[in-house]
Amino acid sequence: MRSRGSSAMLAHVVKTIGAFGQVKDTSSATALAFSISCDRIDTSIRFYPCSIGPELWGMSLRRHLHFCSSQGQAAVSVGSPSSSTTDNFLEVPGGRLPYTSQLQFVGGSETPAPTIPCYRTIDSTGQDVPDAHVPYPISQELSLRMYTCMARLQTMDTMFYEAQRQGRFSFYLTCQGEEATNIGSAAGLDNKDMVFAQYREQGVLLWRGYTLEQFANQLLGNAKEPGKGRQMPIHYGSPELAYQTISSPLATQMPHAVGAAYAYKMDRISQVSVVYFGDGASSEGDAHAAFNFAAVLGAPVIFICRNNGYAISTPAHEQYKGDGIAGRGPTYGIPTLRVDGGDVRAVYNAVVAARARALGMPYNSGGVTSAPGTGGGGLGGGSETSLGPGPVLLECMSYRSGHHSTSDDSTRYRTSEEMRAWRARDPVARFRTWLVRRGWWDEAQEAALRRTTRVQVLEALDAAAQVPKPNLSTLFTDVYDTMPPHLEAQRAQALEFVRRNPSVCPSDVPIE
Amino acid sequence: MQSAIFQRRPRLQRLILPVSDNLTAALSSLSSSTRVQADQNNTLATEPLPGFKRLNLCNAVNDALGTALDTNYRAYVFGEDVSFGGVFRCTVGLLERFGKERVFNTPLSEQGIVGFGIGLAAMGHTAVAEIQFADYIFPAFDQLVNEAAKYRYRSGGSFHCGGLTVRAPYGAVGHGGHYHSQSPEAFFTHVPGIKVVMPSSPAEAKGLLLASIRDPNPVVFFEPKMLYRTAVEDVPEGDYTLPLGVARLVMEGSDVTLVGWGQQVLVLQQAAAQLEKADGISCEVVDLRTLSPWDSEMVCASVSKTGRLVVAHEAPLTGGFGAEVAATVAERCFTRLESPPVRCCGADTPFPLILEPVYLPGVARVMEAVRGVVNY
Repeated sequence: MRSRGSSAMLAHVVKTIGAFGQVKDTSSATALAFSISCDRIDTSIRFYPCSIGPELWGMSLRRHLHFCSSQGQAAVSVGSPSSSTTDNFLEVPGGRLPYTSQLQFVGGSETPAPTIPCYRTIDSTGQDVPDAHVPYPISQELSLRMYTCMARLQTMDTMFYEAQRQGRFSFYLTCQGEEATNIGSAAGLDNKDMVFAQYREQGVLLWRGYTLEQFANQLLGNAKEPGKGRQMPIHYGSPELAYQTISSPLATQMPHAVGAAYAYKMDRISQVSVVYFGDGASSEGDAHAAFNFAAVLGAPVIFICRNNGYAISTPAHEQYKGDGIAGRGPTYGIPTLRVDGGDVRAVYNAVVAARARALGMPYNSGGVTSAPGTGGGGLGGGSETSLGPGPVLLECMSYRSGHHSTSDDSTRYRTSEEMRAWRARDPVARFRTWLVRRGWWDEAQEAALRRTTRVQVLEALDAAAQVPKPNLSTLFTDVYDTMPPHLEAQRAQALEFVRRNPSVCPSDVPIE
Repeated sequence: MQSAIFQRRPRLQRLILPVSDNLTAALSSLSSSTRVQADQNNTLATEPLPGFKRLNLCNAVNDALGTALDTNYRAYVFGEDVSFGGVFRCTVGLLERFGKERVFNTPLSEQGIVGFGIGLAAMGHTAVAEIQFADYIFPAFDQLVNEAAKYRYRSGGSFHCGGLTVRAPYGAVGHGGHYHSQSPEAFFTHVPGIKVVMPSSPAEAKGLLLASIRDPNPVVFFEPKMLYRTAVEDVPEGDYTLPLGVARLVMEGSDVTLVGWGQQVLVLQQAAAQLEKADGISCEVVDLRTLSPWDSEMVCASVSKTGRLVVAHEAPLTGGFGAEVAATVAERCFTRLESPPVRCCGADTPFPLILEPVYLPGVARVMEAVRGVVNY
């Protein structure tokens, strides 16, 4: 059967199987089609709109191929493309690749890719950068909200750190030096965007309304904290504030965020998921998997890398050789922006733009369309863009001013000169200078805010210390949705044992 | 507990490969323990019962996946090569029925597959992730142990990823060698917070998979790959589940309790049949079905009756799940035991290619173990 129909069918088969976008000539089309297993022809045919059933098409197609092959004839005539197109490109399942006749490496120390610059709108002295592109200007109200949150965060961190030193609880880590990254990003999101944090993003929780009492409850592991005293301090979580419970392993949360973003996309909900991770965590395999999955599956997730220069004692130049984490984004097919993480207005703008882009909406026009909380025009349905939803990568460059945690003494691996230099670039001070210049803030307000916050933190700690610890049975609950028989048995055994030997149980744990 | 239609189903029918009557020839022709045959007296009826369909295990899995996707629009099936039907054809037809947003290929990364699935499940969706071979589940071990298993506990119930099910073909296949034959269930039974389920037949697979997908806890579901094509059974049509955490009494007996799971259950059935014929030993065969949490009540009740235990699995002896069963039985049935609990397992070696028949706890080795405890 040598009808035009089956030629068209064959051309479609060839195209659908995707081996070639355009075949060079008819004989290679025949050879290709003939080499394709019947299985794949069947699958292809099923998708071809035609009135005759796929089985008949398959049979006639195969007969057609056999016939042509036996006659030494071309099975299909395709328009012959211009020789320049076919000679200059290599068509492979991954796409279309231009040729070069020159042997030239790209990347590496001799021919590095250009370093991605750092977006910044307020310089290190707190002055506006002239001609900065600020698509989302911050009002006085928003600026003050962000600043007071940054300042409270800074004071809260200092006081909780001291409280740990005094033995009130076992562990703490601060986000000193990264207040702008925390608050600027939190402010740029919608409060219902699901956050998957690493462990240094308590500012995001604070922005969303986590109270000092709630922080203190978790730090002390008392019965009021949702985690029921099961995890170390700083492992906060809050479904009400769309903040997933922290876990210690690094980067594991990154593929989770991709799955969550896919869920939003499937539910046709105009939210993004957001995942924070550090420069060290980005070396993990989970990071690579997350970037790749997000790009391939078109998941509306914002990757926010807090590059603070250190992974405990390991400086960034021992963590990677390429252009940081931002340098990797484009190679995954992810739109990427590197940001001065100490400039809260730049971070805010970056995140608002990223959010719009992740949802497949316009993001650079500076209009109100993509501002947080407005909900926008739905996923990928925005009339002004044909972009679908997809990931965005932001790398926020900052410096970890504090030690890694209360278990670390960073003077052992970095100089005091270095730390002093960075303290002088404190993002809170920088933004305060910018506000004071505008007349939006002053010393008296500053002093009052700090004083009030100190009092509130102490009150929160004292209140949390009065709350009893979770009872003994909570050791056995929540392992599964319901308690299976073997855990019931273990719980009964444990209760009975502890009643006879109360000293093995912490004294503030109710034995019930 | 079991649906009515399931209880009516006929016993496992004859497998594709016939085996001769002669016992020696039968044993020697079993070059792998998995080329087994159910009771030869049980021939295939010409037609399945009404309301049943004659399916192999792969078809049964496919049926369960289709049902799961049909009854829950927020359910997804994904993994490597899932789109075109899967390397074992378990996902054939799903793309055409449910579309590429719900049935899709992922990039080649097990840690990504499971991590992505956890995220989907954390948002309340149902994620059915496929790992191509259980041998390749290890990159996802961190995600399963440190994240999925602890998601609910560490958040105090604020969050959970109960909608996650991870499917993986496991077990000897006759030519799989180190990396296409492993039985890694023991690594996962040791992790509180996930469930481990292993079906032993097509009808079991469909019901247990549907139960696993719908269970509000993350489940690792190991499918016996040798049985994908070779086990044929009349499987109830429609939607049904089998209970998790409940073992199945495969055969009643009085002299010894044989405990197994997955494809090993057929080996135990074969051994039981031969032992009855040759030695007059009456074996009670128990299919655990769920390893975590496991039905220790049922096993202990059985051993309290028979006084003897042989537990068998393909996974290596040391640290295998058989140790858990044996230790529990020893502790709880001590005064009822006529002989020590015995484990008949794979050797403590990587899974070999040529020497697979020697490595595996085949019919002959199980029979010898049973004779050992009966004549103790």
